[in-house]
Amino acid sequence: MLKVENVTAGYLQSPVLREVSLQLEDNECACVVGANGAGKSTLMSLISGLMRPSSGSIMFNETSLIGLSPSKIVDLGIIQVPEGRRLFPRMTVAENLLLGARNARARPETKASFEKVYHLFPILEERGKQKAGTLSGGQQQMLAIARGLMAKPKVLLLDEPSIGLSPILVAEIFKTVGGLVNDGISVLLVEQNVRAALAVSSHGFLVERGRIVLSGKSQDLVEESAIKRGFIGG
Amino acid sequence: MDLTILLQVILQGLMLGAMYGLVSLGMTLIFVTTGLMNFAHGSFMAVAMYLALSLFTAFHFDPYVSVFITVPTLFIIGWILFRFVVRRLLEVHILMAAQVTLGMLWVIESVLSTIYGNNIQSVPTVIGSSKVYLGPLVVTGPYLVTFVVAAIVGVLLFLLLQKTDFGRSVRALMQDRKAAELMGIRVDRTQTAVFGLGLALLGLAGPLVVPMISVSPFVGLQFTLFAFMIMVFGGSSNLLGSVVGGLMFGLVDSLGRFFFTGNIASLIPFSALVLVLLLRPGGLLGEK
Repeated sequence: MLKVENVTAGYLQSPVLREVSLQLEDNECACVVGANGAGKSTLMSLISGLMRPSSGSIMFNETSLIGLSPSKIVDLGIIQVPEGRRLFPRMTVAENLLLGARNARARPETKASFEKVYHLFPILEERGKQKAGTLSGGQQQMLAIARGLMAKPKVLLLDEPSIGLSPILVAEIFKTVGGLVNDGISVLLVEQNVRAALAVSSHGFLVERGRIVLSGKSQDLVEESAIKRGFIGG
Repeated sequence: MDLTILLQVILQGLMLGAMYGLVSLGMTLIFVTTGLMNFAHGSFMAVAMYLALSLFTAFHFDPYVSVFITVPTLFIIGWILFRFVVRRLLEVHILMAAQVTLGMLWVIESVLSTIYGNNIQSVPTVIGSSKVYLGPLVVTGPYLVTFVVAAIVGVLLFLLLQKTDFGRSVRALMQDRKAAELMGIRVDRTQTAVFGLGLALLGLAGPLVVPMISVSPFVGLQFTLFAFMIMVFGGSSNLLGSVVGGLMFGLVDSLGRFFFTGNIASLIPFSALVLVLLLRPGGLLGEK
């Protein structure tokens, strides 16, 4: 279980996140929604160890994540699929996937992981030798998620997977994301597309200007007017 | 004018250029993985050359034997320097790290000058006067050895980068640092190893070229400039570009010295660089 408690982070004068608390249960998909600049990606950076909060705690089961290096956090099984994909453009699809599996837990299962992700995203096997930078937007997103899965995540942090994708692709990818909890992976989804995010998750958190202003079961949140105001793709 | 002589000049230029390419490759690798411009790069090459000189003076080691000592020595120096000095400054600001390499440049120059004096020196080798005949062309031993070693090391480096875990980590770090960190790649360790590798390449190049190029305490900056020019010439973030740039540089320099003398000859490579950059601002193989 991933627990963020009272985290404040960002610049001293104007923090990006203020006293943010949320939690992700085991085998659950939860979403963090809100407009651009609300602080969602900062949250991802904090959990992954790329940034430190100025106060608050971030716990994964009994372990505190604060102060751990990004590579230690990856070793714990917390894997981020960053905003904008951030693939290695001049490396092939297969090389990108191979790099995903480099942590100590994932390495022994590399071959099995390749089979799993090729089964989930057959197009990636087809394009195995193609340079990642030449793939289409949707294929790149699939590769980014697949690369994250190669790392054998216990927790998958997905940062804005729907950006730049057509509604059909969004639906397709979110369907896959929703299925991940059945494989024992907990998913924390950060999204601008509120409707799609709530449809695939069990709990949701709405962030506005650095604070959590609303939280609850996704099916309840859909009815809230604050959410309805923020509907994108609705 | 004898065509044979011209071809010989071209051949020698290319052969020496291969080693320049390796030197520049080290600088490029450091630049793309850390963002740091190593102003002391050429100075470390001078260190390697003087080490070869000392090993010859003290133990009569041929430079081609000294290589086996200078390569690990320079690697270790590089590792330690990066780990304990450069890395800490990089965390503060990249300009501070660049400044420290500039400082190293002057410190190395002073130390070398104190130990060895200011005269130009070179180191002889047993194969110094041996010749190899390639058709109508004659190549002296040192040039041939330098080229062959540079070619072999070049291929080994290519294999390292393409086929090994470490190589993949380096390439990943080059292409997207944040993503590399999210894969669990230890950025600091990778950078330290690359810095050590860059200096190890200098430990290789130094003794190999010292029979052909004389050394003085002040050549450090000149070598750094050459390496930098080649790096920019080939496209700053392009590794293959550094190799090709090195070959071209060797060629242009050799031809320049053949047709012109002294100061004008020194200007030729710089002029060529300016010309190339006017036509292709990103370098020969760089992005537009």
